Amino acid sequence: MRLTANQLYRYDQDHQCGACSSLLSITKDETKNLVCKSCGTLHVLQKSIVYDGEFRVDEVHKNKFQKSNSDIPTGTKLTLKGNDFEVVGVLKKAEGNTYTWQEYYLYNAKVGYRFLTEYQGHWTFLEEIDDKKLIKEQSHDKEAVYNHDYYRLFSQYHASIKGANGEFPIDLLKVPKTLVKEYILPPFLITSEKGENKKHWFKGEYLAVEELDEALQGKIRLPESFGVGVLEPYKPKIRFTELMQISVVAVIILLVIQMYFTKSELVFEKSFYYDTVNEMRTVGNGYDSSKVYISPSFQLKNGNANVEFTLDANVDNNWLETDIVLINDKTGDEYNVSMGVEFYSGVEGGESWTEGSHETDAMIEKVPEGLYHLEISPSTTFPSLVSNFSLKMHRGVAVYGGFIFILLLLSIYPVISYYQERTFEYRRWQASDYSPFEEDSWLDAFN
Amino acid sequence: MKINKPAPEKMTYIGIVALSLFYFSYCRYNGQGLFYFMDSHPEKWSPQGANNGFQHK
Repeated sequence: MRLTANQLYRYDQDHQCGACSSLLSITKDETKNLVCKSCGTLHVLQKSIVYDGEFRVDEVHKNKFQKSNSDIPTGTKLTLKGNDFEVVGVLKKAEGNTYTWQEYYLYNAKVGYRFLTEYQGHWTFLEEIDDKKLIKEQSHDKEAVYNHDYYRLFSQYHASIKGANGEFPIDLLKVPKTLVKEYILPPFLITSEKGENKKHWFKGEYLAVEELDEALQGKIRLPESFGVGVLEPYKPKIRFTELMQISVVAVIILLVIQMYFTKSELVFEKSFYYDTVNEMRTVGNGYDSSKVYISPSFQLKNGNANVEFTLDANVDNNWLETDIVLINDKTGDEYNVSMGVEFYSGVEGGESWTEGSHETDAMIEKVPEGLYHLEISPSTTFPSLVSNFSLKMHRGVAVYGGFIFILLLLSIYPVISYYQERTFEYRRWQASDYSPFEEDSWLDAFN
Repeated sequence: MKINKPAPEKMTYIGIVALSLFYFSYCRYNGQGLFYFMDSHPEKWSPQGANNGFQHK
């Protein structure tokens, strides 16, 4: 029977398109619109309230829509979320001339309609929300609350239909007048469709292409996804929060190690004065002769540890050089270090200036425990000026360079991970007019 | 019973962190810096012949 306006038909009859006479099937009582897949003619139907099993054709709009080549054709059967569905209708929608996407109407006799949308190869599975009490829209701050979760406004638009085929439980002619608002909380979304006098709410969830491929048993080649999907969950190899947990534990351990091995101990201290220097032993002859102070023996404990010498000299427009030899009394092992201080000052052009310092330090690492003594040989330009200086030797001195280095090392991956996550979110929101990121965000550099 | 195994990348990262901490504590235990192996150290002279350049007076 060819479908023409203002005629009654039985559901169980064969029907033909009112324009091109192609065979059409009307399988659902809920169908309000039927679009011929051959010529795009729209048939507006209404279930008869008088005669059971019959429907009336109200209008026939010849070649209303373009033919739509969908990735999943109507009539395809698939199993999703534990239910068997059949694809009954496909819409190709657009917002302005910028964005186009596809909407699939799935039907299961038990659960009713469900929906699939596809944009840039990213899929969303949706269903209508029956209990609207769970939704609270907060237009002032562009948020909506559903089931106690806050969803952020991503887009609002009026969509136009670029192509259609199949059966639909809605009036397609009203679609361009419908205001759609999408709120997201990846991988979930809620969306409202507000018509002239009714508002419908839907909830959706990102559908991994692998899951859809499995639902279709691999029979249909699905489009490759590109870009970041609106609901695509961020799936790093290691989550930033996990990295932070590991890092916090590592930093605590690092601090404990640093504190445990930092037991600075003064093992030698000596102040030298004019008399002390004169009493030093002279070694060598002539120009090679020098004064040497030989310290009493002292014990270095706690296995291997560093030692730090601090030289403080009362030099004034002069310098002092000191050779220090740390000698193990038992093995004869010697550690040699030279230290020098110089300090100059004056007035030039009415301004005073200084250069150098009175104090310096030097470190020897990895000195084993044992009984040691020091041989200290000071020298200066004028022997008589080698006076009034002090030398201290500490063992197990805290060194922060390595500590800071490890700290920086441990922070590299969390920092990279943080930027990756932020960049991912930035790219997600680039398609939105309501992005929480500033337009000239520095994250653009990582895009 | 399903056992959730941590991602291998996570285990690798934990391994690297543990190794860094172990090396740090090894260096601290030995009283040496992290780059001791490549530093130029104050000369050490040993009567057993372990001489790395220092001339004993």
